[in-house]
Amino acid sequence: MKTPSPETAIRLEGVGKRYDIASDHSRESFPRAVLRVLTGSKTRRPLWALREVELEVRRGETVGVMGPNGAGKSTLLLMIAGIIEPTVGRVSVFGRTNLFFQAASGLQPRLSVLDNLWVCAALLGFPRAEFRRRLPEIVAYAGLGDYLEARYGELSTGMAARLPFSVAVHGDIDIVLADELITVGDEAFRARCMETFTRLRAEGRTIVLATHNAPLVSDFCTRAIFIDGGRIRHDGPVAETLDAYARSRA
Amino acid sequence: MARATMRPWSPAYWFLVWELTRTEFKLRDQGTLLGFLWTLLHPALIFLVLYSLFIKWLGRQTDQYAEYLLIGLVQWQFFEKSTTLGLTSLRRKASLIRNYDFAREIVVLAAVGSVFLSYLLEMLVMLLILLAVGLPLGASWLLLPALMAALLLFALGTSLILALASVEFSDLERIWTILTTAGFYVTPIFYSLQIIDPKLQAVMRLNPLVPLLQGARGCLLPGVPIPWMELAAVVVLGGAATAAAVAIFHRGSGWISDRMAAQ
Repeated sequence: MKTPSPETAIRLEGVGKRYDIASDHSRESFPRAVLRVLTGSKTRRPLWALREVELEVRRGETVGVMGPNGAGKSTLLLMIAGIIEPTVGRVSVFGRTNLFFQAASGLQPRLSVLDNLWVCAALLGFPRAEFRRRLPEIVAYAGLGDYLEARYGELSTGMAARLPFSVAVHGDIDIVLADELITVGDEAFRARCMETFTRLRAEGRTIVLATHNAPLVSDFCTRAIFIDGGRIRHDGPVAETLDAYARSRA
Repeated sequence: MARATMRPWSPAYWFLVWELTRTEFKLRDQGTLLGFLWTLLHPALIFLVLYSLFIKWLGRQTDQYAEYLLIGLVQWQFFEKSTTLGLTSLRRKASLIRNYDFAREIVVLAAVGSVFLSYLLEMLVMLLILLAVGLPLGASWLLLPALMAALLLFALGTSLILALASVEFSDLERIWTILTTAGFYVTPIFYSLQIIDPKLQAVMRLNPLVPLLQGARGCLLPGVPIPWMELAAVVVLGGAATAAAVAIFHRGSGWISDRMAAQ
């Protein structure tokens, strides 16, 4: 294991992640098939979502992660966030992280917007007093001031997406992990999101952004990674990586 | 690799426990016609059924049978509801586990905590009823919070162990339903242990709920002894189960996330 420099924000060494997924059972033995039918279990096969990933991200870098669906982008971000652990290898993260995607999954459509703001803040690790102090600012940012007592499930999809995003951007974090951030809310809110991300970048936060959006990576990132089949295929300057990605799809 | 701030000694940990507890509590009866009243109606209806069935037979052999039954039933229902909800909590909150980094045992703590809130209200109403029917207020009533804490600790330890096991064994929910149904009959809730054969009594006393129920009755009913030694053993057992389960949750955070991802 190499000693990380003080400039290192994220380091992945020989990382692999294996899932056991359900598969067809055409080749299984008769006794096994009988057991499966009786118990309702499924035949499983290993799927490596990431393999032999070596990656080092320095503090203050803005890294775009590109690749087709199922390439391993979200698995990579979930692993950096500490939500899943590698099957092999080692993940080291030097700073506080928050996910900026799928955050709405923990929210309750039958509870009020205000209740959900509190739940979301608690899930993202906010201290209670800090959240109470910043609540008016967060509500104003989200533009949800008129809907605090409405049920969360009564909001439109775009309005609903604002809630977890707005809480997350107000967290005290060093490393921002985002997945398709540009799809959050309407045009005006997306512009506000981009302003926020530009400010976070200017403040020297480390940003890892998984996306299919090549222009966004080109405009916003200082480095890009192309990932496919769970392996890093290219890692380098944005233009080179975008070129490698485009060639792979040709 | 759980978040450093999400440890039991950090305020963020208890902030999340409280928010998820509040959410579970609010959602449980939401959408039903009687809403929150079900928290009180359910034990009241079960009490009426059992009392009507057994008063003529068991009422003669047990002093203050109505009070005896009511106290036992409220304690049992807390244990049964909290462990059942705790057991299923990880699967019910799989989307939270797949998408947020937090100490996983909090989901179980919140499930048990939400039932504990209902239990507190049930206990309050029960105490008012006991006073209304003329039960004398004694110094031993002051011991009741300690008894409730012991019951909470034992239910929590059991729920955490069950929740961990349920990650691998999805059949456990059905098995637990059978065990708690059997447990209702082998625990002295609507009958007194004294009517049981002495040899069988010794075996039944191994059930950790027996001293907890007996202790609650001892706090409230004059002349009923509190089994201190057995209660101490249950507290140690509950504490050890809770500590061991929390340690496993911390070490197995990635394993739980992986299994929930396969849901």
